[in-house]
Amino acid sequence: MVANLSKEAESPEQERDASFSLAMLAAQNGDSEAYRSLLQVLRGLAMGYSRRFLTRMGKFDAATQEDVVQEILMAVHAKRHTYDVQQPFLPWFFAIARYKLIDHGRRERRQPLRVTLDAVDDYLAAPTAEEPGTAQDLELLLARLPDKARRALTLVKLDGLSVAEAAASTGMSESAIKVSIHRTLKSLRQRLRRTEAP
Amino acid sequence: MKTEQLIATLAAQLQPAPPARTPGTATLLWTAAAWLCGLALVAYGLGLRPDLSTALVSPSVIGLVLGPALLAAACARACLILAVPGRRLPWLATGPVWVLGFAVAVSIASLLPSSWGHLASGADWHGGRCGLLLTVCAVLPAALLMRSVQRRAPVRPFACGVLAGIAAGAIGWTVVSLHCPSLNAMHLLLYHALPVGLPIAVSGYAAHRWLRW
Repeated sequence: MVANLSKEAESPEQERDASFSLAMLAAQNGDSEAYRSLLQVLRGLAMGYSRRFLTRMGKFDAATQEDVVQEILMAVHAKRHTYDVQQPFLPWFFAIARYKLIDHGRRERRQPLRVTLDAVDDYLAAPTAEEPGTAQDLELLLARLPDKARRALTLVKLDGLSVAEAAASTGMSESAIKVSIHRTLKSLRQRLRRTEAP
Repeated sequence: MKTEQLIATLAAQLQPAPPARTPGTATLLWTAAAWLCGLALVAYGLGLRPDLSTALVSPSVIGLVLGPALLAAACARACLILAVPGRRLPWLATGPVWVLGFAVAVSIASLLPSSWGHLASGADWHGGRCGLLLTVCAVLPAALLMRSVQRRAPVRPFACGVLAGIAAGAIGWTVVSLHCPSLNAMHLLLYHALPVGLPIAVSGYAAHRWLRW
């Protein structure tokens, strides 16, 4: 079934590629453990690749790198059905990684103001007496979010509840809460970029 | 969220994801669907050319119907291969596109000198209708192919869009060839070949704009 496994591996690289193919095949069939291990390895590959890419662009910093690596892993997750086990795995993975890095570079050129994921927390910090407009801005931002996303973000990031407590309060799973917050922060970051870009 | 957490979340939420259809299978399905739409349109809407039964023995008519049809299939396959990350276009995928495109261009060009008079006399005043029909016939095949590409992961969306446009335009060309009896080279060039440029431009732009993921 896995074409690049049926032939005897000719080099350690091919052997390694074949093991990735097997893991992705298992992931396509719903094997979480194999998938987790594969993502861990891909994370390392994505870190190295993005470091070289960002350094060449003169845009390397650890926060950006982690951000891009997460985007790559999410793209691998979303497009895992496009991997064909008859084909080598690494060209598929690096094509996705390269696409996401180029996409990141293009966004950077269009919107030079960069707000890292951690910095979004600063934007969402509770308003102080010296910043009368911030509370209204925050309310405006939150009002545009879908109900579930707003509740998850408000409970964990503003009210200080743990993920487990927020999950119990909303009836969502802990995983759903985490993913929702991650996506919401990402979309808020993009909105803030658009708003603040000259 | 740290990357470790993201990995844990993605793994915990993993659902089986059956592999997408291979480009070959998807091309067959698309070709069948596009032909069905085209034939239905020409049979129930536009009407077949009156001399079809006799014309289909003529090599030029067979070429005008089969050439664009094969070009459409070749381009659709190339487009769907390109929509998978890490896949390169093999010669077998791009070869037919160049060969057929070149053959069509040469055959029309060789007939051009004898066609100027026909066009200049105004005998082809209705030719714009063929161009319009071709464009209309290309809409559904283009939409189907773009949808199929969107479900994949095109890392070169513009190239995919251009190939989808050629494929859809060629289907429109085939359909119009089954309807229009003209064998005048200028007519074929101006109203059957050149209008393919419109689906190409629209698909290329749409893919560049909306096929990002």
